[in-house]
Amino acid sequence: MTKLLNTKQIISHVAQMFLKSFPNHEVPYDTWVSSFRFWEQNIPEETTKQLKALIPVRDSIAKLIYQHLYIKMPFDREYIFKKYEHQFEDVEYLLYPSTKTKRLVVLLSGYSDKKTYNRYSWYWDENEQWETDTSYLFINDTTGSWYSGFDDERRYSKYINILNNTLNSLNITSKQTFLVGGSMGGYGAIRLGMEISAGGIIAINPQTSINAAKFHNDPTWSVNIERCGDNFIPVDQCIETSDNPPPLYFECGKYAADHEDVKKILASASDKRISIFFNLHGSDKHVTYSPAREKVEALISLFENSAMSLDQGELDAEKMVGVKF
Amino acid sequence: MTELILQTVLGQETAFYDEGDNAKGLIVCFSALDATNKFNRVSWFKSKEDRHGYSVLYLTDPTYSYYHGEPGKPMFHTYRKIIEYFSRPNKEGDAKPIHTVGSSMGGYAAIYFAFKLKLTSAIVGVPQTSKNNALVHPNSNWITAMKAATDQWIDLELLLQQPNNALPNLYVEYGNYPADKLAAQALVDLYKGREGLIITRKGSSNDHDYFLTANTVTTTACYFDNQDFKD
Repeated sequence: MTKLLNTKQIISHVAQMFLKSFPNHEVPYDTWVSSFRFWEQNIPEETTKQLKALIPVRDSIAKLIYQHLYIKMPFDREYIFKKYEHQFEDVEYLLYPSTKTKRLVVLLSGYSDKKTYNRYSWYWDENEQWETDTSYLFINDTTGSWYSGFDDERRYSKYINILNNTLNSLNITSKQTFLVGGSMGGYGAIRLGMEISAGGIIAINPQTSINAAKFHNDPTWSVNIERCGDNFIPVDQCIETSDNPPPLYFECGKYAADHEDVKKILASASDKRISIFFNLHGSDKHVTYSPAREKVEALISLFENSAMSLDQGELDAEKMVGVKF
Repeated sequence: MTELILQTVLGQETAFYDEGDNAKGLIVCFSALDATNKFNRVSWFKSKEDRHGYSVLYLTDPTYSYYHGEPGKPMFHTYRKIIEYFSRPNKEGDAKPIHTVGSSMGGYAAIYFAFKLKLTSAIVGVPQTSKNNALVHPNSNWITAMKAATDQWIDLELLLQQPNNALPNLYVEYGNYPADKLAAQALVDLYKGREGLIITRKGSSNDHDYFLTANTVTTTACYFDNQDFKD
């Protein structure tokens, strides 16, 4: 009778058998998995019945076998969710914690029917050492309520709690926090970033008000935002009510729903004296691949530079030319 | 520390901090209308450390005509040639980034030349953009200088709508001074109407002041050098 093996034993057993046929030298996972799948299809005749029953293994298991052999875990949704996903009340989130955190980058997902975390593959560390100086927090809103909450649910408070708890656990301040998002995630980045007085916000084609959302060619946005009632606050008001509003990078094209409130936002930003980066491009489409990873990094580096601090700028200018501001 | 090189080029006085062939780009500083010194911001980039690898060229407009020149003597091509003379291509022969910097009249000139010469960016404080907005300034010195430019004068609100050139990356500072606020709003409107990257920062001053510093100029220039902001 065949002995039942647990997942760990399966991984170890299959890895050992594979090593008998293939020399143990490290190659990138994509290359390795081709050899592995080839081996699975061509296992030697004398191979045990037990092994034959175990293969072909699922993709997730193949990745764990690779990790067993090379102490490196390729990006794998199932593995990451199991190991790095947390929950606060009914809100799930993902955290890649750096061991020497100087900043937290929060990536917010856009509106989607299925649960996902935006760009979490970009920052996955195969070695799981997490030795860079940046921790990454990924949040989404599977209810599609613009990080605000429908009806009586104060969902945004849950996100604020998640942010504050994460900052405490990493021992950093909100000024060391940068929020990035597109579309609904862009709105969430502004809403939460203004609320916690973050170090900077990167928002790509965010929804800015219910009126602007009505210009979208599908009623989902405006219907959902309307359902949020008072929980949804237009972007210009998020800026106006922020205690210490951070610099904001705002990117949008000619799509009417994205473009509608630009002047209003400038007016609010002017009143609150925040640095605002308007990247107004010519595309008439809402969907975009922006921001690229390099753009996110360049903007954060600029937000962190003291040259972008208005108070510091005025102080420097005062020293240089003797003008009192 | 590099010595400031003073020389007359095409009849115009210039000053130049030269970072040599390895310069990562050129910063062109346009002096303002009521400059106490002939060249504004010379002290900002005195030390090599503060230049962050950029050569820095200083231009001035002794005619006080927003760098347009006097009647019958347009200056656009003179300044163009001077900027070209001081800009050095890289080893492959490609142009290096050029950023213009200025405030008030110098801010107008920085935007004007950045647009007309298709330069990388303009980094400006409290620029004038049009005769109409200048009328909000109670002193007549701006309007007088604009009139000195005679038929060379063009409002930036019109110039930047010309379709042949893309808008340069723009960094603009302003405060609560009404003429400056109107100018900044006009610029944002223009960028909203076309496409481009505009960074706006508003100070707390109620006067015609700005708070641009050497650090802001080089940080912003570096940022513009490394980013492709097209969709």
